[in-house]
Amino acid sequence: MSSRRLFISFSLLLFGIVILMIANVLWGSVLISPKSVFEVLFFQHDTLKGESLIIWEYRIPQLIVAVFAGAGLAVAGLLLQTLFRNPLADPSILGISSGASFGVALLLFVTGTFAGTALSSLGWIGTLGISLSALAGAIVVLIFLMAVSSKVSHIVSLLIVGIMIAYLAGALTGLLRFYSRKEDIQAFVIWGMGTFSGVSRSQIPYFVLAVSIGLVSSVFLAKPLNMLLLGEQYAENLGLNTRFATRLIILLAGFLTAIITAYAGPIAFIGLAVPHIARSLFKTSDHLILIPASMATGIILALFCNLIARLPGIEGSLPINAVTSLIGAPFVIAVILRQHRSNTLAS
Amino acid sequence: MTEMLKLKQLQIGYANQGKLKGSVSLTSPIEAVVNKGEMVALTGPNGAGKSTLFRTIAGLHRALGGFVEIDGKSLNTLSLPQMSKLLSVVFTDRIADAYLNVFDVVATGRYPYINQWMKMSRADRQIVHQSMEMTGIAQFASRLFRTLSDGEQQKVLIAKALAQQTPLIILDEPAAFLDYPSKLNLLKLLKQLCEETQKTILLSSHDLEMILRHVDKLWLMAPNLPLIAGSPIQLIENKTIEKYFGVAYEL
Repeated sequence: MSSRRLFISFSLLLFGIVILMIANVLWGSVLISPKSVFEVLFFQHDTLKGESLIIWEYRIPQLIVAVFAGAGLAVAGLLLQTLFRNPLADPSILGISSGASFGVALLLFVTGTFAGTALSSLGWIGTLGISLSALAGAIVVLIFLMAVSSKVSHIVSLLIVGIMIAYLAGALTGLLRFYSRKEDIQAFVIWGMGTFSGVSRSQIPYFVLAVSIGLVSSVFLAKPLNMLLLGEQYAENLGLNTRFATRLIILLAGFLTAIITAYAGPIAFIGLAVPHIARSLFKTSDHLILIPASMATGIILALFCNLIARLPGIEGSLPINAVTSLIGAPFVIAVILRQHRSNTLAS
Repeated sequence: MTEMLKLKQLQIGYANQGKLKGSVSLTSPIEAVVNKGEMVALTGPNGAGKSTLFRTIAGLHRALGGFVEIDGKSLNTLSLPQMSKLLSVVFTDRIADAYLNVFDVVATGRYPYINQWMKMSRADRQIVHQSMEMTGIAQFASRLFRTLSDGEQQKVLIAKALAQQTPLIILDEPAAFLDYPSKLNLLKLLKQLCEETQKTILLSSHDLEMILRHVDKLWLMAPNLPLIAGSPIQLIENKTIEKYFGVAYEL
C-alpha cells in the first residue's frame, strides 16, 4: 500500500472518529439542543444544570469508555487472531471473559445469599464491587493461562485449554446462577449485556491509563506478530523466541480483555469483527499498520454502537452487546462477500 | 575446505518430558559433514527421522545428545538471532495469510537485520529484489502469495532464504508438491545457487532419480541404520541404497 493511500485511509478514519465523537455528545436518549450542548461544553450556565449533568456525567464518560474499550478489544482480537492463525479467535476465546463473568456471579451469589444484601441496590459501591470481582476472575484465568503456556509447546493446545476454561467457568457460573436470588440474577444479566456507562467518573483515569498501557505496548509486538504470520517454525528461524512472544501476546491481549470486561462487561464481537474490517480496508497483513488501523476501526464501531444504543426515543439505552452484534455481523458478512468477489475476479 | 555444517555424535529423537530416561532415539549417533558450497541431499524411507534431523540442525528441536556445529560454532552457544544469520530454512509448512504478497514474504528474510519498526534501507530492498530475480519470481512481486502455484510458492520461500543471506540453507522436501518440470527447475536453481553464490545447501527428498543427478553428496537414513554419507554413484554401486530402501535399485 502506498504511503499516500495509507495517509488518506488513516485521515478518513480519524475524521470518522471526530464526527462520531461529536455525534455522541450531541445525541442521546434525552434530547438536548446543539446550542445548549455547546454552551454546557464551553461556558458555565446555571440555567442548564440538568443538561450539564447529562453531558458531563453521562455522555462524555460513556464516550471515553467507548473509545478505549473499542480500541482495546479490537487490538486484543487482532493479537489473538494472528497468534492462533485463526480468523475466529477473539478476546473471549481464552476464557478470560468467562473468568470475569464467574467472578461477578460469585460476588453476587455470596453477597446475596450470605450477606443478604442485593449488591445491585448499593449504587456505586455495587458497581465497583462488580468491576473488581470481574477483574479478579479475569486475572485468575490469565495467570492460569500463563502457567499453562510455559508447559505446552503447541499453540493449538493452548487454544484448547483456553476454550476448556471458558466452558468450565461458564458451567460454574450457571450453577451459581441456579442458586442465586432473583435480584442478583437480574444484576448479572444486566452486567452481561455490556455497557459503556459502567465506569464512574472518578475511575475513568485508571481505566484510560490501563488500556493505554496495553495499546502502546501492542505496537512493540508488531514485528513478532508479522513473523508469526509465517508460522512458528519460520518465525523462530528468523530469530524470534516464539515461546516468549506467545506469552507476551497472551499477557497483553488478556490484560486488555480483563480490564475492559471488568468495567464494560463481556462485550462481544468488536474483537472478532474489527480486525477483519481493518485488514480488508487496508489490504495488508503488516501489523505496524493493522494495529493502529484496528484501534481506529474499533473506536468507530464502538462509538457508532453507543450512538445507536442511545438513540432519542429509546427508553434508557439498549444493551451494547446486542447492538455490536446487530451492526457488526452484517458488516463482516459484507466484507467476506466482497473478498470472495475480488478473489474470483483475480483468478 | 571449510566445514559449513558438522554433526558430532548427534542423537535425535523425542525426549520424555525433558528427561532423557524413556526418550525415543530415532537413530544411532550421527557423524556427518557438509562442506561450504556443497549441495547435499538427505533421503531415506518415511519415518527415518529426516524432518526431525533438519529441525534439530535448525535449532527448532532439542538434540538428545551430541553437537551441531554451523560454520565452526556450536549450536548450543548460538542465540536465535545469531542462528538466523547463519542458517535459513524452507519447510513444508503452508503460509495461508490472506494479504501477504510475494515481496512481503521475501522481505521477512531481512527481519534478522532490521529493527522492530521494520524500516528497510535501500540496501535491504535491493537484496530482496535480487533474491526474487535469482529465483525468477521478480514479476510476481506484488501478487498475493496464496494465489501462486505450489512451485512458485516454493521459489518465493527460497528467495526468502536467500534474502536472509545465510551461508547455509536447509530445505525439507522442497520438491514434494511439484510436477516434473518444476522439480527439475528447482534442483537446477539450487545447484546454480551453490555454484554461483557459494551457498551450502542441505535438502531432503524422496525423488531419488532427481537428486542423484544434481547433488554432490547423498545422506542416507533408515530406521535402525546409521546415517551414511557418500557420492551418489558410490552408494548405488556398493548397493547401500538397496540396503537402506529395502528394494533393488538400478540407474
